Amino acid sequence: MEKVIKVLHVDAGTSFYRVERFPVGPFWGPVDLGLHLTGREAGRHGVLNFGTGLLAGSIFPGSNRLIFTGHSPCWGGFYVSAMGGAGLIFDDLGVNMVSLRGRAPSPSVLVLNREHGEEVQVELAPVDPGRIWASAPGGVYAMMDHVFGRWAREFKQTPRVLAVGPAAAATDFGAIASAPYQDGRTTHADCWAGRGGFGSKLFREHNICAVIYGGTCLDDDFRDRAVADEWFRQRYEKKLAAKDFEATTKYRFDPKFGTGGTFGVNYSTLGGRLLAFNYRSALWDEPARTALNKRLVTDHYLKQFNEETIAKKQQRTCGEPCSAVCKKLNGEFKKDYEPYQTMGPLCGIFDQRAAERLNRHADAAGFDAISAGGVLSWLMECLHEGLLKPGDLGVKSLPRWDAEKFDAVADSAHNAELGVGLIDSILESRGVLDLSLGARKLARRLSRSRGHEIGRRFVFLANARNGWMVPNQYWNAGALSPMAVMGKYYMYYGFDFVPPRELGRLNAGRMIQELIIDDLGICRFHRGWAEEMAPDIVQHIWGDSARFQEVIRATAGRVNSRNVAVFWESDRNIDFLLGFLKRKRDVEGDKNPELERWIKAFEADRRGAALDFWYEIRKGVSETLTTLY
Amino acid sequence: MIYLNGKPREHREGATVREILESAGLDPALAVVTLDGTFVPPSDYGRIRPAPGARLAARKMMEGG
Repeated sequence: MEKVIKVLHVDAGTSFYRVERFPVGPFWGPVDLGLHLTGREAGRHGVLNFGTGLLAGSIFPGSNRLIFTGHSPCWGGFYVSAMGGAGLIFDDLGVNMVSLRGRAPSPSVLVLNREHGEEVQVELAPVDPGRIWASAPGGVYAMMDHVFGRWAREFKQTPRVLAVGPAAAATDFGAIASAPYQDGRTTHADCWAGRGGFGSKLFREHNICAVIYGGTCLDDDFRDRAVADEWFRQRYEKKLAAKDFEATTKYRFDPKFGTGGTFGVNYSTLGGRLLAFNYRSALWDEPARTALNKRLVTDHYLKQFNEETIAKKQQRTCGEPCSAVCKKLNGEFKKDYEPYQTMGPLCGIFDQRAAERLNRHADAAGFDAISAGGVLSWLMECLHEGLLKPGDLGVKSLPRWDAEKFDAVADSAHNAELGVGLIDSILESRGVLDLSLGARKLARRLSRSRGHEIGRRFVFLANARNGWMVPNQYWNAGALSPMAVMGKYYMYYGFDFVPPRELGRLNAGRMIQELIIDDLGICRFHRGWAEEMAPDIVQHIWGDSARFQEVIRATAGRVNSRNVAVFWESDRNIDFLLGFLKRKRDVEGDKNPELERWIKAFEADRRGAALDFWYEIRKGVSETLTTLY
Repeated sequence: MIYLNGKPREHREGATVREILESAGLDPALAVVTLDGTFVPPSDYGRIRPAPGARLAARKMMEGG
């Protein structure tokens, strides 16, 4: 097995490239090494790293994630973003990671091809991204098709394309997209490194609008199924494939709920925890929330999904063979819970046709879909409340946000059309919509010039001076935690009340677990076995699980040492938290005296209690991730 | 006797976290576990044996994404 991690350094400014080798032991994977390279080059170069874990190409399902690391333009700190399946073809390059630095003289495509021989062939080819993005099928999809069409024939085996869209040029939260191609055509099973704005980083800092890669390198990957089956049998009395099948039930089809995928299972179980209309539902009473959920989600939005996607078994994988078949589709539209939540109920959209229209537009533009939906719902509320006028935002209408009279089809379509208009306004910087430096900066500017009521409605996590992130779409305290990396699942986001100090400790513990599978490049949809088995697998293959776990803990500590989380700047964040706490007590009957104490503290001094709650979480994080000698 | 999610529970001495969870009908793969307030990594479920009187909390792991 591999004893070194090979990094291909590419300077986009000079086309200079070289390979550097790092020993396995001090380094283990794309996260800890990405953090090292980001720190090593800090002050000299901004680097964007992308690569696979040591298990890429192995028989372990879900082990081919492509992991991106670097300083995030929107978060304002070190970030980790993971893309499903794209590591399988990357593994054919015969390197473990690419570390990109420098800025190409003009917008370019980076071509990485290893056709026999010892070296990866590196080429930077200038292109006109504006013209490509404007061509059919538009944005990132046009970029993927263009790059695949122009270069794929130069590869012996089907290559993979990473692409950005116009959001990468206009904002700090552009994502990176990649869809597997089969027989020369896209599969529509888009995979995204969505969070962290690495599309914006790739384009604005390196002037790269796409990467195409592939090769024929065969390396020494772990492929012994009989041996792996024995490891799994010892732990679970099941073979690897059987355990993986069991662990991925939710993502494929869960008979308990008669649905599958994150969209299906989450909406089947949310009930009164539904978040809608820019989180205003957190301020409603439970009967109002459950009535909305029943009428618009269960009986329409979810029903459509189950009939169109689940019943017709429209599902695919991310590109690697996988029993989870987690990509749930309706034709060309892929449905994930969080994008279809933020550009769904959060924007006042409860119809699949309308959500498809808006999500497709945002995806084609290449946005981090979760953050895009959070920004759109905030802007829609500002329009709804008269805090901003349509002309301020370059649109012509107001949202239809009357929950009681809401028409699931017509009003959803109207709101989606408004969302499409707002996206175009963002891309063209119409009116006040300059998001080049991010949504927090915009909220600050609008709050100063137009009144604080605008900023107080934007739910986001604040980091450092300008960093921001729309939280994961789970109504609980964990989603608003002051962690060093937020917007992914480096925290505990269960729906139970956990006293904040303990929540901080749980967050830290969960962060370490998530780092283990990210650093090995394993998809978190397989964590039902991966978190438990990963140390064993490392021990069996590399013989030093203790060192691996030590590096992971050190990585968590080093990431946390850069934790510059800022206390919630938006009053709606406090509504979100307090609504969650009250619901636990009043609806779910949680009698924990600590919960009662916190609610009373909020009622006595809302902002002071929020600050205390926030710091208590932070204390729990710090006491867990700081080593005391 | 141990406490599982705040409730007293008969305890076989030497039982692992995994065995306690399974005997309570909980799926270890879907649990976030603390033992006396300290987070327990899943890889330790089969190794750690709570002492009598220990407070074990098993919270449901959300399957987000």
